[in-house]
Amino acid sequence: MSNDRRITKEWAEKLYDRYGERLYRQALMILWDCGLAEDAMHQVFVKLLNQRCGADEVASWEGYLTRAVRNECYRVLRRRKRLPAQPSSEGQILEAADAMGGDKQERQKLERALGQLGPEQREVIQLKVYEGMTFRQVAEAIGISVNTAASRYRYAIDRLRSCLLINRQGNRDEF
Amino acid sequence: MSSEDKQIEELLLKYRVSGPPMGLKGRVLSSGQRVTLRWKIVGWAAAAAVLLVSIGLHWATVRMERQMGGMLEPGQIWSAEAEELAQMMDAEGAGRRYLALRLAVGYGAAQPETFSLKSNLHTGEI
Repeated sequence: MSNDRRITKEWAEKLYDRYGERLYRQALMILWDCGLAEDAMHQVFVKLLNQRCGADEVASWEGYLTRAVRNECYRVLRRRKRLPAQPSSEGQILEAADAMGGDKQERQKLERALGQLGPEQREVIQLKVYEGMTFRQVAEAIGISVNTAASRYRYAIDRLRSCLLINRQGNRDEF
Repeated sequence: MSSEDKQIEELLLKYRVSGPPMGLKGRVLSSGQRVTLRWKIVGWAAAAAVLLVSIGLHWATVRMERQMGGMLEPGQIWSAEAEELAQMMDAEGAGRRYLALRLAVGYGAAQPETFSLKSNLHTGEI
């Protein structure tokens, strides 16, 4: 840890090793585009390295970086609204959670359904389902009320269910 | 939570969001701005658009200059009366050009069909 009121490259590297993967997944879940998620990560770390603050001054680096990535992602989304739509990274966003590999069709179907959700809903899904947080923790992590976190999750699950049901009826297969 | 909701959660847990690509750490920790392919394309497209607009404006200016270049046949409108008027006004280059322009406008309005754009007003030669 350094006290020279500047984040060193070594310290940033440690932070990346510790939280980078989780932060990238968070960014990808919000932005739903690999290139944009990489850009957001890059921006956060560039800002971090240029920031005049000591490593000791941040109480929780995990919380700090989670907020920073989140803010950067929503900044990118606001900016993106003003630009023509870019092609998304569909087909490269989800991967199988275990070595079994999963079913490719099922994965694509789920990815399409998740792509139909708004960034806020996907973000809550990421924190609640993939990071195993409670609604209270989700609410604290992203600065919303517990009720809002729960309703976003409810909305996301309902939307996923209807998307997947439409797919199931259309394709006559079970999910 | 309904059984369908449980099924959806189970389905979600079978997959996860992809992790960062291999080279991301190096790129993220390197100083300076990373320019992605997408932004390179946007940059080149913007430069090409600016170039096209510049060429278009240049072409339009040249065309207009050519038209203006032969705006009026000097003898057509610069009569003895006009010369007298210019002398009365003590008009030099700019004054004469203005007077010629006013005469040209009057002439064009009076005879729009025959009005010929042949003159060199901006050189001051009348």
